[in-house]
This record gives sequence, C-alpha cells and structure tokens, in this order.
Amino acid sequence: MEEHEHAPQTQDSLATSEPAPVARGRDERIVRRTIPCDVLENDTAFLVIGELPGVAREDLTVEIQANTLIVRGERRIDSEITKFERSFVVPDAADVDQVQATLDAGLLRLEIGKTSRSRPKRIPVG
Amino acid sequence: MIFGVRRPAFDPLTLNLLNEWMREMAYEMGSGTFGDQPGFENEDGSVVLRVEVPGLDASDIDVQVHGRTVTIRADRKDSVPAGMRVLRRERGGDVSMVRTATIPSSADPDQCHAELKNGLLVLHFSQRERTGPRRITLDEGRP
Repeated sequence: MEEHEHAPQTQDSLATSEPAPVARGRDERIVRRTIPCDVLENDTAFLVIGELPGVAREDLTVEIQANTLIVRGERRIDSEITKFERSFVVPDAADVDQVQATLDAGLLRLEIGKTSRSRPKRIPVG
Repeated sequence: MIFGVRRPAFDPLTLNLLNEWMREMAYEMGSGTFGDQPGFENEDGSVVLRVEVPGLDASDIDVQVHGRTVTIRADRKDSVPAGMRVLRRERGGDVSMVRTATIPSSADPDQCHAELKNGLLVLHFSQRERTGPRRITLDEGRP
C-alpha cells in the first residue's frame, strides 16, 4: 500500500516486531513488543488506532516529546511482563496541543488535530 | 491463440485448489496481534488459555468445546471510518479468525469459563485431580 508523504513516521528502532525475552529475577521475564497501528487522516485530524490487548488504562502512557509521539503500555500476567512500545514522528501538519486518547477493549485511538494552516481552505471565486 | 482466447496458466482444478488454500491461509493468519499466541498455562489450580482479540466484543466471539478440542471463532469488522483516508494499514481491516487447540489432559473440558477483558480472551479450565499410579491386579489364569 502506498504511504502518504506526511503520514506519522514510525521509529523502527523502537518497533521490534519479534518478542525479545529478557530474563529478570528468578521467575520473571519481560517481553517487548511493538504496537500494530493503522494511521488515517481526514481534513481536520490524524487518527492512529493501535492494538494493546490486555493493557489496562492505568498501565498506558502517551507522551509527546518535541515532534515525537510515544506510546507505552504494560501488561503483567503472572510472572510475564509484556511491554508494548511505539513512537511516531508527527508531521508538521499535526497540532500536538490537540491530542485525544481513548483505550477500549485493547484498542487505542489517538486523534491528533491538524493545524488550521494545514486544513484545506475554500477560496470563493468572485 | 485464435481471436483473443487465451489458455489459462493453470488448469481450473489447480486454480480452485490454490484459491481455497489461500483463503484458508488468510483465515488462519489473522493480522496484528489479533488471535496471536495461543497456549495453555497452569495457574492457581486451573489451566488457562489466552487469546488476543483487541477491539472485539463478546458478541463477536464464539467459543466451543468439543471433546478435548476447543475452537475459538472471531470476526472483526474494521472498516475505515467515513471520510477518513488510510495512510498506513498494519492491523489488516476485516479479519476472521479460527483457533483450535487440544485441551491438555490436566484440564477438565467440562469445567470451563471464559472472560473477555481489555481485548484479551481468557479461558479457564478446572484442573483435574491428579491421580497417582494405579496397580492393576492380575487374575490368575485358569488351567
């Protein structure tokens, strides 16, 4: 599928697709996973939909550092801790002061508004 | 070739089998984390199976136990919201999933309950009481 020029870019160094178990403690193990995401847009906003199965709201953080959006989630089942992480470089058209996040049934929805300058403007023809 | 009639590269039977196989592959594979990592674990006196089903409601999921086999079917309708354009697609859109697993002998297939929380389906099977080795007495053969 062709990707849009100004789509949020993923930082692949953080987006490891293969689980990488790391031993910690005697019986505990940590598994790191990426977050599969769809990225959509309309004229007014970007919409990022990511899968975080088993992650509770209190175990999820969404941060913006400079022009990077970082999503981190954690799921603990018995002695296994699964850490989900994904970051996006947000495009200039995104307004980082207008970000709304919801988590429902293991699905994260991030809506990022677009700056007014990037929205299409209809010019009346006189 | 006469008048634009082209012979198919595969004979129809081969093509049908190939199509069928590809459909089954797509059905089994799913996408994203949807339905990944099935596997039984022993936990606190029960045998547990977890299946990831992000974005699904209980009404989208069907769980059936038949003998020592558990089958989980799930359908995800994930169409693009009206007015949105796709920039990146990793989750796969509409997906149907079937997962079949053999219930381990340590679990009782008749004692199962399922819960769905935060996009994670968890099946709990009661653990069967472990029985020790049983000695079989031999009848003496009659002369």
